[in-house]
Amino acid sequence: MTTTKTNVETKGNTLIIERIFEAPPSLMFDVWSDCKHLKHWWGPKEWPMDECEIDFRVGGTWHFCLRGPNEGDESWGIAVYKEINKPKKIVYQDNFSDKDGDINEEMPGMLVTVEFHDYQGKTRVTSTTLFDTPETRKKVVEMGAVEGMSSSMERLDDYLELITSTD
Amino acid sequence: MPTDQLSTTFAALADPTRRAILASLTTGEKTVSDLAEPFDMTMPAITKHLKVLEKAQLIERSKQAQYRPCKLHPEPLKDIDEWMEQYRRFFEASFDRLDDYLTKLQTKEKNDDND
Repeated sequence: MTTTKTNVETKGNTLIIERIFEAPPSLMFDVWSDCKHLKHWWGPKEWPMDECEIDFRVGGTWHFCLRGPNEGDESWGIAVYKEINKPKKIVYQDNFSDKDGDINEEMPGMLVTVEFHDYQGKTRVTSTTLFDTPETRKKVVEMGAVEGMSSSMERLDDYLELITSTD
Repeated sequence: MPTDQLSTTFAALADPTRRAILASLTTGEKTVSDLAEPFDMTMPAITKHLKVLEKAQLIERSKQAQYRPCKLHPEPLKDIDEWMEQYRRFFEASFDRLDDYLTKLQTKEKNDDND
């Protein structure tokens, strides 16, 4: 179950993550758009989503809070749905926020496109994240600071092992 | 990664003038008046931007020379890359949990069907 089937690609300021899940697209769409499902998996194990409120329609919001292992560790976010195409695609603008849902303008925003492709009865999920500070990303690339993307796979394995062993 | 440093970096980069200043410094050291030239801004306004960049450790200013030329210090930008990396890990960690959750969900469905 812990075999990493994830494919990662970066293009400029875009991060593309792809993975095949053992479920049909209709179910994938549901677990991505409903708090009762998202609460079970959104966020790393040590940072579970404690609070979740979704108004699932174009222009509606997903306001959530992830809480970490230490007292007071919390991270609020608010996403606005831009496009909903059941069961194929969800597009939302994701931003850091406070508990009232006010956006933290100082942190980068992310335009996330999640696509569910039927793949022999399973689903190939493609998550494309466009970081909305292209100048920042471009600078990083220009300065040659982008390195170690592939070498981090090993660290990721360790990380996953760590978080799954807490069961 | 210290989140405070990251917020400071992002805050410093959130302004187009400051990004332009950094871009200008990629070609080498510049004095404050060199940096002010392309902008329709007063020297105090530019100095204010430079202070923000200096506080975010994105630039260094020479203490010796009288004109205190500015130099790019790109290290904090690597943290941004690290931040994207964190985000990627976030997704992957979530996906791993999702795998487990889907298994549970579909096993339950099957059991319910059999009842």
